[in-house]
Amino acid sequence: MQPSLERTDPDRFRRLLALGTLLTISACAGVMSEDSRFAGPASIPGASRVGDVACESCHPAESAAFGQTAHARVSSNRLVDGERCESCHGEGSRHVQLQGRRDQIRRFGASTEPAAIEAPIAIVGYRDLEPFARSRASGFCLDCHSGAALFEWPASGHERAGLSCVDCHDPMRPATKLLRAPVTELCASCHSEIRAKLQLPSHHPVEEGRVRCVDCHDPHGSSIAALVRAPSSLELCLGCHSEKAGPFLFEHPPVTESCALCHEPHGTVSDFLTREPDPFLCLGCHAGHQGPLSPLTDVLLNASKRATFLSRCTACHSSIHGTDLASPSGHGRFTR
Amino acid sequence: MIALFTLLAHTTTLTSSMSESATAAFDLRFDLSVGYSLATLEGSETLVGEHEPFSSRPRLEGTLGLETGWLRIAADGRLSDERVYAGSVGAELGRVARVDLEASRSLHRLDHDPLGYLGFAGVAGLDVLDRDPGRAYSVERGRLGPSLRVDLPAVGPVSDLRLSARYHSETREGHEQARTITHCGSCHVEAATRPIDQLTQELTIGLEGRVSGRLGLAAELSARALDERGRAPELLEAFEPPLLANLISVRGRLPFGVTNDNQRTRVLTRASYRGPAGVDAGLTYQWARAQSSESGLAATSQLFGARLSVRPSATLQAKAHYRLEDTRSVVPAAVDRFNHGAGLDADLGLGRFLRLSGGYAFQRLTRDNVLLFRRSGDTAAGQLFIDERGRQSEARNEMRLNASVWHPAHLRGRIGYRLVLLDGPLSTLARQTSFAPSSGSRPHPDTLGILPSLSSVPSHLHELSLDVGGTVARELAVHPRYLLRASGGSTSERDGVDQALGGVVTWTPTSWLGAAGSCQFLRNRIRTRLYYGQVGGLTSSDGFVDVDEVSYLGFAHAGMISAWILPIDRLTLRGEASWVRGASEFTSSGQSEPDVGALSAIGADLRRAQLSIEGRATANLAIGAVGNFSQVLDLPTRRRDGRAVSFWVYLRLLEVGSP
Repeated sequence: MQPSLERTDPDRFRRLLALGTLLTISACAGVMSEDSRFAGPASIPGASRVGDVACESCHPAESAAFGQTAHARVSSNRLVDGERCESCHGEGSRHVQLQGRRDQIRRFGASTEPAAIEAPIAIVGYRDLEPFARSRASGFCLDCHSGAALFEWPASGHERAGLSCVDCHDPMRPATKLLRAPVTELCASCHSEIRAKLQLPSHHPVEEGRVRCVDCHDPHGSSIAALVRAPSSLELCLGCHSEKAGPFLFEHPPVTESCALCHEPHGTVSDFLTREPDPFLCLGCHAGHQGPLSPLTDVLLNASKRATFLSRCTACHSSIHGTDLASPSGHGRFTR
Repeated sequence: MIALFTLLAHTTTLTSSMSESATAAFDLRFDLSVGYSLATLEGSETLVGEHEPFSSRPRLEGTLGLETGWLRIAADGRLSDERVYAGSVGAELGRVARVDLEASRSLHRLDHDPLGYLGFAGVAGLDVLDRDPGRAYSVERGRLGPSLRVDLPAVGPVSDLRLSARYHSETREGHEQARTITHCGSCHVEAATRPIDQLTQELTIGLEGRVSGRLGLAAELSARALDERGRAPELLEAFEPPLLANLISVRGRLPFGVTNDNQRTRVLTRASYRGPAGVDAGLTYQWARAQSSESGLAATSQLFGARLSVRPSATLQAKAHYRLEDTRSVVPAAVDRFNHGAGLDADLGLGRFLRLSGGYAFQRLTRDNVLLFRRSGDTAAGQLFIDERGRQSEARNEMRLNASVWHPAHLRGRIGYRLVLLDGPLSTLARQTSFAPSSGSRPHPDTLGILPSLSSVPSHLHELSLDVGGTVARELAVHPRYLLRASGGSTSERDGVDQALGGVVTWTPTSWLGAAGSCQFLRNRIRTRLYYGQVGGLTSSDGFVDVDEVSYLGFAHAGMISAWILPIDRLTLRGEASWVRGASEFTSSGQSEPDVGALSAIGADLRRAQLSIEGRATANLAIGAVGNFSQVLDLPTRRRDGRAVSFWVYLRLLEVGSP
């Protein structure tokens, strides 16, 4: 099949125009609606603040753990000294009066329609959040955590999958970055098939502790797919494998596009993290050698060339990532 | 050793309890383990311990924290060998400035290819020459990375000002096997030892801030340089037979492949706007230039991205994005690229327990200066080939649908479907599969000789994912997952199916007993009727033969289980085990292995186990032991390639904090 030679799609601008119009309408509609994304915990009707000391009297373990977190050391408009618990959980006087009745703990972001409220609210909890409440909970965190590291969260795959900050971080847990588990275990708890790949014979040494998931992926968002921690996947790989960066006089085109065209970075059965073993990976794009090279070589090698040409292409094309040296024939065949 | 250990750290939280935070003047916490490690190894170090030192020697690891109110220092690390250590140290001054230093060194054992599978080995006059047979290759990678972060006071409407600087240095030292071709280009392969001595340095300076609380701005400038200090080996004995000197054109000494020094400069700017009603917009622009300092070759790239998300109501969210990438090169015969695309997503909440989302994205990838066809040239005039170069373009349409369900007590699940349609497909769909690219050979046969052009691929791809998690009973939670990717197309008569099935089960019946297990089955199969040049060449040397069916099958299953028990107070027992089998096989119209090559079926069976015991003598002292076992079997032969057993006995000192 011949590839299309058209560089631009004639309908492209019409599609973009329609898209822009739709977004503009949505944005206007959004501006006119309530500011739901960054809403904090709802105020508890009829309740007032009681202070951290009152909370600690019934929740000593939680208070002790929280005291070792970064949140216990920060002062801000939201995290007020002496009232840190109620900064996120709402005013606690009714919760104290009711002696912590569990049926009056409302999940953060739960529907506020009267019919949906199961019981009078005494305090706000953050466990088992409803699907849409999860993104609102993230918005609550983003009110303070507004640095550049979180710029892309609203467009991230994790946010689109319905995850929120509290799925991975526990504000009450005295651990590095408030993580609920060590980072590799945390990622593997959802991406179990990726962890399986990391056990395969050829793999990046994540299980060995040499590389972490977050060295390559930014769970808080990225401008490209797979939460890659770089503006492009190629840049990510070349950050460590800079010897393959080039530019080379003789370039192997896929190397300048994406390493993932040939490599599965988590793990594979074949060597060098290649998606298929050599030579079948190469035969996916190249027709390879066919027919006799010359009458002489045909006579000499017909019996043995099968094994040769169906062994590893990279045994001969060893500089497959690119080279400045020409092959003996003068062409760039990556043989040196 | 101790001095080194104190450099090893990481950022952890170190303070006294909340009620004490206002008065505590000094807080020291540490958790140190020191002991001796014993290891025995049979077989291949590379296969059984690619990244492990396997040496019997003292070992040290732990964490250390110190806080004096305005100053916090945190460190952790491990030292298991002079070639394998890792850690960092960080200091924070009054939550205004933070300095971190990371240092690590790791070992990577490299393969030594005996090249014995090359079919011409042993043929008189045609040979494979390994100048260092049996040599073990490895590379040691050392990293050093200091960083500085300073939070600056607000200036007018600009708040959250932060200045950051990072330096990253990485050395790669060791030896690897280098290969090259001499003489006529397909019959003589020489392998030699190439020293590796590379230094990569990168400096990044960034500044970010927020204007009026809504608009975030960030800029970053980075420069990276690779310095290759190793010298590539040279061929010292050129083969120039007097009688065939005209046919076999070899002239003088020829070097093995070299790694040239290169530099890269990058400027990245980003902006983020958070408006009312959940309006969130972002812009990204990057300019980058890469250059090879020895050849002077350079490539420049630009990237622009924009996104917008709005939330018109509490249960509706819409998102849009646009992205453009442009890469231009001054390298002769290099491919220039221009890619751009846009997309729209919408999330809708239905009731309290169901969320639906859908999206559409369009992308066009354009490559210029691509080698489209190669024809035979006028050999008498010294022109072996005539290349035709031009433009290739692919349009990609992608649609996706997801549904998330949730129940507060028992269920949390997601099902997703994705469809990708390609017009004029290039090889980019390869990225969609996990094991193998769903790309295919170009239907022959209008090209002679070696064909270095990219080929067509399937025109569509379906992807189905199912992810369910829930609590079956109070002490038992299950989390099964299924992922299916299927690709195909009438043009190429090629289809691929990539599946992953697995799950995680956790069982915690009491506070002193728990277990977790996971199992995954991965399977990838590709079938095609496409012409494979080499395979066809095998069946008929004078023509191009379609093969009825060429298939590739890759599979793996990985099982892991872990358990822990506290039979008595102050005693902990843990056990972990994993069993992984993976293999791939290539078949062609029922031909046997000798016809399709000795490497047509490869695989490995990996088994690992770990058992640990730790007892607390006092609140600050514990003693423990850890035993590890690992074994590698080759598949399909089931030959044992390696086995390793190691023990570590240690004394643990810990102090969790003082008032």
